[in-house]
Amino acid sequence: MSILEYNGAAIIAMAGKNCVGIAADTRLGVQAQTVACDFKKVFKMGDKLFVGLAGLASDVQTLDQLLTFRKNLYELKEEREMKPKVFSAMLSSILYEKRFGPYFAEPVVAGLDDDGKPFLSAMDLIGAPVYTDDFVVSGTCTGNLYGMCETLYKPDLEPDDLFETLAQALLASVDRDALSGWGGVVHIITKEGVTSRELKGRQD
Amino acid sequence: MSEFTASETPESIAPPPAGFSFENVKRNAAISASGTTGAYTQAKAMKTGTTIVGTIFKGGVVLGADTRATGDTTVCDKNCEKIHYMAPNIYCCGAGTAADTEKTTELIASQLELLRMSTKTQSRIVTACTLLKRMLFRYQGHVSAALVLGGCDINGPHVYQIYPHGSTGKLPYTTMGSGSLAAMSVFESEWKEDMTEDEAKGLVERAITAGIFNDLGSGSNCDTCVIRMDGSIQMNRGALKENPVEPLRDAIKRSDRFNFPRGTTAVLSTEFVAHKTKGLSLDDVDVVTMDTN
Amino acid sequence: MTSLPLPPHSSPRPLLTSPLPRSALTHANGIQRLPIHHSEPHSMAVPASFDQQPGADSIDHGVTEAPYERRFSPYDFNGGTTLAISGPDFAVVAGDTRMSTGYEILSRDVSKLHPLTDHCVLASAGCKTDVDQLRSVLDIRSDMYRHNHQKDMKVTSVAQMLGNTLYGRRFFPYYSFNVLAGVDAEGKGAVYSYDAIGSFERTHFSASGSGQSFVVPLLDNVIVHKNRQDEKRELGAEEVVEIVKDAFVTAGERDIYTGDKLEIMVITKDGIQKSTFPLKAD
Repeated sequence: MSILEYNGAAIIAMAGKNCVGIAADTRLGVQAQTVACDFKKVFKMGDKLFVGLAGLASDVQTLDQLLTFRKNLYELKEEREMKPKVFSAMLSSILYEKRFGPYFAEPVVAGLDDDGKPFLSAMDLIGAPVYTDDFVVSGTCTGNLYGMCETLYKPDLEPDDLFETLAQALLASVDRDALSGWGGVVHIITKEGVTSRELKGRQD
Repeated sequence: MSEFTASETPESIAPPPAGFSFENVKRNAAISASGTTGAYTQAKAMKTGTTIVGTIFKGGVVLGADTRATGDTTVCDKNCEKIHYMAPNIYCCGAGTAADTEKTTELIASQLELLRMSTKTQSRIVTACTLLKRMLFRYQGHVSAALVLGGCDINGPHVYQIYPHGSTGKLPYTTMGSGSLAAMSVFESEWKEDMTEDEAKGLVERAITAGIFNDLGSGSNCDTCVIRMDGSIQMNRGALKENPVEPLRDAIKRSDRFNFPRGTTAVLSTEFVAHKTKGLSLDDVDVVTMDTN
Repeated sequence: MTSLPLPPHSSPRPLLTSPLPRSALTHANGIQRLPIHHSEPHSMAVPASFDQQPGADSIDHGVTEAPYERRFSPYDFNGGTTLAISGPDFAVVAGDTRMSTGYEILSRDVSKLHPLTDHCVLASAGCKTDVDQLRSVLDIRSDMYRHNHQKDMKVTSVAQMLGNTLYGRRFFPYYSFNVLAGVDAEGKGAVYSYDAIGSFERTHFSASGSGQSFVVPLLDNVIVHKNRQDEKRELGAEEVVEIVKDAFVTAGERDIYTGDKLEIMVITKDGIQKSTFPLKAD
């Protein structure tokens, strides 16, 4: 068993029409034992920028703090907001710096560019970036998540349809994974704001 | 920058020193040793089980690569870029651990840029090769990047291959990655000296295609990059797209079960948070008149 | 870490292809040894497995401190995905036709489907040689049944027979992951799901092989209607076939071992109807 699977997670980010969504489960486990059902894995880094971190819970929280710190520092120095692309590059560098003693977390970045275009990226634990314009996944059931997203994804979904697609993909995937689930959250980011929904899912 | 911003960064928030950080190494070793259900296996990084090639022709160099990145037996990226920029006249294909190929080429590209600024001369391929091999040799193969380096300089067109341990070879044509044998079979049967640009491009495309179809670690599209002696570059992202999924999906009568009417998912709570407008403005504060008595 | 199960006896019979006797598995100091030895520590007992990089960790770099023993590994994983879905009066069973090992494609046109009777098809992924052997054992047994009883085996009987055949090799299993599909005595679609050593269950649908994880949650959602509040509707054989195609195109996109061609069989009380669908060849 890999240390990345110690606590369990399932995260998806998907692009829609002028909107982007990020979904995650809420389980915190210690191997097969569930410890909490309200663990936060998706973090708001800016108005239109979210990062999802799947992996070892302590590294997830450490990275969240480090990323917030670095992003704030950038914004104080530069006096401008950090763009998703810049944030993604920064995250990649933070991870690769620890190439030989990595943080055990695989991140997913979702955001909207200045012109309102969706931005998606994912990374492995040492910061190899993947940029796509449809969807990215991370966690302990990536096979399930890829299968769902690959089949269900359609370009240019409206925010409400993007929510249904993300929610169904997440719920179906975590129900076939013993290490993730126990509820889920979906954030839909649009030009106007962020809609966050809690999902009703199986509690086993 | 605002006049109120400190010109010097305080030490406590200074950027970290350059180079790798090993601060987690002891912790990670302890985690590995403390496994209750046997030792935890090493977390697997993303690989590019790749086909990459390079060849010289009469007026330059052609590089080629497939676009698949895998994590274990799953395809992580169907259209990744494996031909990396090194200098205006040099590009480099990378195979191996995705992060290593990406960051090693990025690092050396930046060193070359600094070198160009101080010497005010065009970068040479052999310089890039030396910087890369020194970096890889220093890490004794642990930075697992297998590279095909190509470009044109004052001495003509050059192709180098660089192994993860830092050994190099200067060759007229070469292949690397898990699809290297498939690609080399094409080169060995068809390569000839002093090809034209079109001949070389066609040969590279056929070599990459051999890798794409016969090696499971390679797939999707074929990227090529032509670097000519006159200094011009032609980067062909998706030069060959022989694996589109659309025709397959179009041939299927898609079931409407894949569509979700709104309200399909049970929701426990919904919350909407509007974006703040950029920064703070007078709208965000109660303006109080100043007591001037 | 996987390791071969221990044989029930500790006879010193030298069997080349069988796991080592119990005595050889325990080191003099009492520590359990891996049944198959490699030059490097923590090597896998069975190199063919889903969660291992093909070829990784099994390369001998020639840097060894002590003498080591080379052993023949009896199993290979030849990849591929199979899938079966049952309906009210039909069953759809499908499999891709790629056969591979490591990073190589061995063939682009090898069937994973094997009709055992006119109303029953066995779909299997795994080690091809084990699948072939299993098929011929099952063919012989169903022929004997036909000669003894003057009738074809019912799907329920085939299901039990397959379970028994697999469990017969409990301690040196067939490396095959099976899905059995057919129509039962009442004309209803029947799908059975198996593990490698004969545990089985009648299910609504089943998938196995390298692309399993991409397909199973999708069918939970679309066929079984899990987690959905919109109206459920009965699906006909034709619609199920189209869903199967979509599922396999997905598996072919993301699983390196699935591709080349999809073979579909629709089983009804009237017999088996075959069709194919192209998949990507990269």
